[in-house]
Amino acid sequence: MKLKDGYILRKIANTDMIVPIGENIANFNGVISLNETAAFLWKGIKNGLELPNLVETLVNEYQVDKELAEADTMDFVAKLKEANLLIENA
Amino acid sequence: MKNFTDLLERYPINGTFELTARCNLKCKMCLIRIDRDRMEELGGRERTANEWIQLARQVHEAGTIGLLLTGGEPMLRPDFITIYKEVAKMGFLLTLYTNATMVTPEIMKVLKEYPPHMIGITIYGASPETYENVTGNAKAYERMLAGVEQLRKLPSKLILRTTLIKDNIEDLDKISRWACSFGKNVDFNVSRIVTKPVRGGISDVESCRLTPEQNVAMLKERNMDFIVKPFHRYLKEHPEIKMNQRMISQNTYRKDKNFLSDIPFQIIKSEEQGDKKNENSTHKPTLYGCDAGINSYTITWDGKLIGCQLLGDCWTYPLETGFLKAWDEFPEHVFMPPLPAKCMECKVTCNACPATRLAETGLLNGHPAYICKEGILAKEMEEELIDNIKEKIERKKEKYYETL
Ligand code: SF4
Ligand code: SF4
Repeated sequence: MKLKDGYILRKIANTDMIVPIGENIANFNGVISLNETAAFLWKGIKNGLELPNLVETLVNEYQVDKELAEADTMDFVAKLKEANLLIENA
Repeated sequence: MKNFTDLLERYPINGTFELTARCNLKCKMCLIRIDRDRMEELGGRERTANEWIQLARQVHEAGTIGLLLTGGEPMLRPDFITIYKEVAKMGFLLTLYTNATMVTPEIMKVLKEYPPHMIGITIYGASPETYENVTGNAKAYERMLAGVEQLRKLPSKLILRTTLIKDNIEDLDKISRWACSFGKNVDFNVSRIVTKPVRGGISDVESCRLTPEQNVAMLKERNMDFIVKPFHRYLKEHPEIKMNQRMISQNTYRKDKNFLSDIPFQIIKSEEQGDKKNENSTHKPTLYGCDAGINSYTITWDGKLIGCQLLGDCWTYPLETGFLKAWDEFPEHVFMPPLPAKCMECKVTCNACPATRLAETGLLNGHPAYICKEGILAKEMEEELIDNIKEKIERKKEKYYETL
């Protein structure tokens, strides 16, 4: 699982945002704002984590139970797919 | 001086980098343009590509999201591509202002790789003759057309902007028809007021700008917003006549032969009426009555941090002290004197703001006669329009009751 190039995570006035650059500007008219968990997961994927590890780091970081972390992660990954931000490994 | 503990929370969200104040054109009404001689007189130097890139890193770190690269004409710099490429990679919401007459294949290459989110292109006329009269360069017309053709291929949002003066007012219909032929993805803006030059700009604006009377006549003839807005305001105040809205709006403006109803014709409005409000309100004070120095800033061609591109009353030195320090210390330098009694009492929504007052009078709180007159005439026109609307509504009502 890999994030597409050309999306930059930025913190603006305490809000996490994704700024599209390059040809991606055509897909997003403006920025995408992320909540804290989403930004955390974004960074995890950027660092090469796959699903099981993502869930694990989320559990550790936020002291939530595994089921919830799993649901959140799946939800986020689905959103990324929907927004066409993800390259999935074969 | 303000009490800074009371100041609205500041955050440098939007920045403007004025990469140069020089230009390849010599527009009669340019607020900014200087030449090398004036640069020397002013004692500044244009900042190097490296300095702009370093600064961009700092403002990125400080949380700037919207960044405007402008001039003068930014593409005039031989190192424009270097600056642009490095800055664009960092991840800003990038806007580029240009006159589109210097778009080379090399520049297009980097713009294709990293398209700006928005491009503002200034259009000075609809023929080589007008370009000659306004910019001093007839050939620039064809070059602009070619430049726009190129820039249109990018996924960027395009805004075509024009500033009307005596020399190009006749071209407005042609410009707007051309601008609107590009469809919905291209906006078209006409600036409302031309002020005198700022920060040592060398153009002779006064000889070419429209008189306040011409300006307001132009608004009346051409601008949908100006006609429709007071009407809607009136309707809002009179909920009882809401049902007639459609009928009346048609009668009010569709008939006008000059009325370009399909055109996204918009006025760039001053956000001001600033300290007038602030003085009496319980809101936390700003510095200039607007966003300048609160959530936005400009870095001038010679590397000073100022409130907005039209200001220049005071500054700090981001390249020397680091951006954050320059940003943090900026408010200490701002001294906003109270407005003259005339303006404090005035009810007109004119286009005066500290920057335009400064440009017109040399003082942040000066009384700008030109802008004042325009504002008052516009207000009169608005009242006239409203009277007109009222009359029409009354007549409609009468007819309506007659049929009952
Ligand atoms: S219309 Fe004239 S008097 Fe009124 S605020 Fe503007 S400049 Fe001042
Ligand atoms: S000082 Fe005037 S021109 Fe500058 S940002 Fe404020 S309202 Fe706009």
